[in-house]
Amino acid sequence: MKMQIEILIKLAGLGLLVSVITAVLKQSGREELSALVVVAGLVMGTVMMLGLVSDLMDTIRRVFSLY
Amino acid sequence: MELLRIVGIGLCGTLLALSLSRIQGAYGVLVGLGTGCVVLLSVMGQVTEIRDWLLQYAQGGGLSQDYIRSVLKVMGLCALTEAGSRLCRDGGQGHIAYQVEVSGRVLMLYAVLPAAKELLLAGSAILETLAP
Repeated sequence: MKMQIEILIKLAGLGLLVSVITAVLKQSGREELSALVVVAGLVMGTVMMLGLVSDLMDTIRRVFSLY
Repeated sequence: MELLRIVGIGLCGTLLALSLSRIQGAYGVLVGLGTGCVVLLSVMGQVTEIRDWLLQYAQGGGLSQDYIRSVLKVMGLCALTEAGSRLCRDGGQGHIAYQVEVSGRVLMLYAVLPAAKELLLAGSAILETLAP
């Protein structure tokens, strides 16, 4: 349970970090780099979330006897 | 208490998603997905117990387990469809949400098709005996 909450907090931290990096990059006039940072952050967040989502899917599949 | 923890997680997730979606919309959806997974996973143990009780009760009452299983399957499909479509709608993609809902309904209908067939056969058998 504790680990799952940690993922949430980690995700929020990642979002804040990306927003700060984006702001700094925009200030220094590198718009294309900031877009790349946003996409990379999204991919990182999705990969972090993947275990949780697959855990949920497995549980639902087992409990409700899907497939 | 279990519920207090879940409410706390939901509120924290909502606040995080709200503040993150101001900065980057996609992060809000991601946090929403994570919060939903955590909340749903934390009640899955109870759901398993309810399902076991239901199956046991149905067996005691002489009801075939296949029917209960198809009802459970529809419930699972419904939960997944609703969670997915609401996430899509939260991300602002109403059209994708609608397509997800339609696919979920189609799969639900497909899951109960054998039971519906048996129901129709039973109905026609009753009609045959009543009015040959």
